[in-house]
Amino acid sequence: MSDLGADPQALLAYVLETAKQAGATAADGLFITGRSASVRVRLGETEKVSQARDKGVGVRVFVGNRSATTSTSDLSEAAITALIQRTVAAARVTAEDPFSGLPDAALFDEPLTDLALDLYDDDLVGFDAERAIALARETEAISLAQDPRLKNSEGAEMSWGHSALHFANSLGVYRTRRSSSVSLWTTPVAEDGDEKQRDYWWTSARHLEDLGSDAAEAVGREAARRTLRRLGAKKPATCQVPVIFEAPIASSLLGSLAGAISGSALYKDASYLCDKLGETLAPSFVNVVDNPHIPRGPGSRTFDAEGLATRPTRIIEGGVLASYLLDTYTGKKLGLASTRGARRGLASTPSPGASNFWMDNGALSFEELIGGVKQGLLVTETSGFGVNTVTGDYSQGVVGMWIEDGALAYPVHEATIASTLPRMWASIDALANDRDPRRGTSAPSLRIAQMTVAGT
Amino acid sequence: MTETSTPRTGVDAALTRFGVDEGALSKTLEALLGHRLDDGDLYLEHVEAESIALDEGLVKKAARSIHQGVGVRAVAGDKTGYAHSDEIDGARLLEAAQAARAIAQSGGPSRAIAVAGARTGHDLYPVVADATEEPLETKLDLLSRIDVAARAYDPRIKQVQASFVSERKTVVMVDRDGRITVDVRPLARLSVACIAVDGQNRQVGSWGGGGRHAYAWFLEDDRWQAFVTEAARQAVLKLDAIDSPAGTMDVVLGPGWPGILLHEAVGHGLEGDFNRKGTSAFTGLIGKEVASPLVTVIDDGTLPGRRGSLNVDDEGTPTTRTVLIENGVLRGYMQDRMNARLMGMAPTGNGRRESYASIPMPRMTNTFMLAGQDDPEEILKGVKRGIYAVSFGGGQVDITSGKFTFSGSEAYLIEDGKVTAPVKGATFIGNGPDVLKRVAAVGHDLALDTGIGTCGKAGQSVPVGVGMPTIRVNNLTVGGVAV
Repeated sequence: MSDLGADPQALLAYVLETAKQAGATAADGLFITGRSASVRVRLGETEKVSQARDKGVGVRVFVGNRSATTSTSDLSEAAITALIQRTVAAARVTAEDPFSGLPDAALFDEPLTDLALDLYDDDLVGFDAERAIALARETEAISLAQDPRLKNSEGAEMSWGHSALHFANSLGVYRTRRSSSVSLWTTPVAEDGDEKQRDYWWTSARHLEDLGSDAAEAVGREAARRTLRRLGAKKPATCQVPVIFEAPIASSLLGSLAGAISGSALYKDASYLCDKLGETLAPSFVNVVDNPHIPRGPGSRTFDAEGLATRPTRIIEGGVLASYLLDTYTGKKLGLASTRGARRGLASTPSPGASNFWMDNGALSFEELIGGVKQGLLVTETSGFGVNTVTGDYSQGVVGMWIEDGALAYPVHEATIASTLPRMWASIDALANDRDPRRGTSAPSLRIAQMTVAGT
Repeated sequence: MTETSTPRTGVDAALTRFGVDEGALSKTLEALLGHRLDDGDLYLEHVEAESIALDEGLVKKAARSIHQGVGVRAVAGDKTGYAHSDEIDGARLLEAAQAARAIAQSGGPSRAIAVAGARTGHDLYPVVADATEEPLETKLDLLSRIDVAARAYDPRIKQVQASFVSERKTVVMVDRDGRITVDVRPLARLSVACIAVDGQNRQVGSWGGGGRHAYAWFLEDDRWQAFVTEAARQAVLKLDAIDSPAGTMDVVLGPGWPGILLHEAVGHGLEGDFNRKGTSAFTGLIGKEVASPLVTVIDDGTLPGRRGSLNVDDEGTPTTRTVLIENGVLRGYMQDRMNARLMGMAPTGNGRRESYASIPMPRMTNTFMLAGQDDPEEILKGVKRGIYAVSFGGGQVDITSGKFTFSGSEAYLIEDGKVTAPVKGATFIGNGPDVLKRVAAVGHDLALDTGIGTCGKAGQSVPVGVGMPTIRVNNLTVGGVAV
């Protein structure tokens, strides 16, 4: 039985032709191949070495305006043919949906960006486990050397990989791109009497060289600092105070915005931001851009999952909601154009998402941000499932530091913070200048005028 | 626990599916298992999955996928070498075996291992035709009926999303001695979410259920209708919810799904790996009192048809019923093969993995608290001011510090022993080794959840079950907006 994986363009052509033969009126497909590896070191010893190869093809077929999708990692002609025939048959029995279909053919005339996004590093193809083990070991050793209370570890892990994505549709479009990534983590454990605390730090990059020659030092020291500062944590009193979200937590708040302005939530009435386009959500110094064209950016891509050329989109401009995140289908549902935000897994239909979804930095240093708070809470970790982008309710468990007279006083845990997302966004009163460019969704540390903190 | 022999046809059929024979498996094992390895195995997996979804009254999504692959593992001491590939053939198997065994730096001679003999565990899901084989039209029709039923519940139900997801996973495991274990695992879940809108007030209610059942299970006893009614009822109820109070108060947890408290507060902390490494808040506490004497907690992978159940775990070990906490005293951990060996304990059938691309870890199956003596009504009557929580959106735990969080999706005020206003935005937070000591009452109404749970650990998701009777916990921190 012939395997079609060797020639991606021919494979996709076969897939599209098979769909057509089976009765599909249109189709598009993705073919992804990748290789990846990871190592973990714990307390100086290699704990895990893992390597993988993956590939798969995903296809969406249309019969008029009915559709169905399929995916397989079995690339034999027989398997692909049987699955596609079955999928076209499935499409015939799903509901007619006048909004469904491929993007307009004319949109594919738009050229892909000519910026060199530089998302692929050849050096990572040959990167070997021994070097990774050495770097992970060094990172963990540096973190544990920072303090005698750092007695244990969940280990240090390094992972790397590269992949290729091929896209084709029945309009004759064929596009391809390659990318790579590498990351380094460590999670030390601090012990003091009966108390145990862990935290972690990490770095990641598209290119090996961007990890930096001091990656082990930088990650190890920061992981140690973050873990040690948790020791001696207390439960705060229940109160209402200003709350500062440290940059990683501010980034997850920004992530909830991306979810709430995704077309797939909006057209289903499943977002607190339905019908809010053009309204003021935040103070005028808040700006958010979704920019897929940042060279070596973690969320960068030249074309989206429907094959359309990507472009930057202003999301919040001067505090005003300027755009949603849309693909072709959700755009049509809302009477708007796609923002070229389609994403999809192999087996799923596209839905809109963010690329590099970044909030602009403010002017303050992190210390200045803290310095402006008499009594308040710095949040360094949140937990739970209490961010509801349908209703806008927000209630999460937190770990952090209590702020007194503009300085960090002591660690807190076993506490919660609560408010609503509209109130939180509207009452952001300051931004720091510490946005982390290694994150696809990234915001600087930010201060919210008041939230309810629950503790004792 | 019983072991019976699998009919040879089961093994042969499974191997045919993967296009490999016993000879290729023998060669791979030989390449893998030098004499300095403590353990090693092959894990072949084939998953056929189907997902259909309805919104706006239309079934717009129908997806079917086939994924397969092989994972090859070598274990030496606490070191693991792992290689996986989604191509399954003799050459790839050998390549993976060589990559995996590199971890052990084993120069030892390979030994010949005959792949023969078969073993199996329980027969907990004897499903003849699984839900993926049910005609698509039948399932599409069910989703359409769900839409109608939900909208009929209340005119304020403006959106209904329903999905039916099913899979059949076939696994073939070959252990270090060449013994083959085959398990064919059906799994299906029906989910319903309703959005109720009243002016600017928008609320969501979700419910669902499933397990390792055939499609007919969803129709029996009008189960699907019960799921729809529950999702719609929650959405409409929340239109009238007030802000949750914040502070420390007594909390009554309802039966069933609130058992997620056990999963988060104690379950993860009792997984063998964290305890071997000394990074769990429960490390070294076996034989110690970690809960009220009213509390007995079990992990049981042998319950027929349950979402968290398995005939054998993902290392071929038959699942068991493990007593974790007995009358308040910590009795045992959940173990996979490696952690059990390193801790000098027996495997408990809790070695699970998300897929062939993942290394097994100790994981929960169905985790629940045994029933007590108290009448649930009396438990509520005994609370002066507190919260009655009957459903949750999800939970999370920091295994090292023991701090857990779970997020209420249906909760009420308790005032002078009476359940009064529904509240929204309630988050519950506490310390695992401490919270069960403050269990003041345990009801006689143990219930298991309806089969909706998925547990995430180290990036791997596996289906699980939880259960609990009504319980009262004193002095739990409740997070909300109202002070």
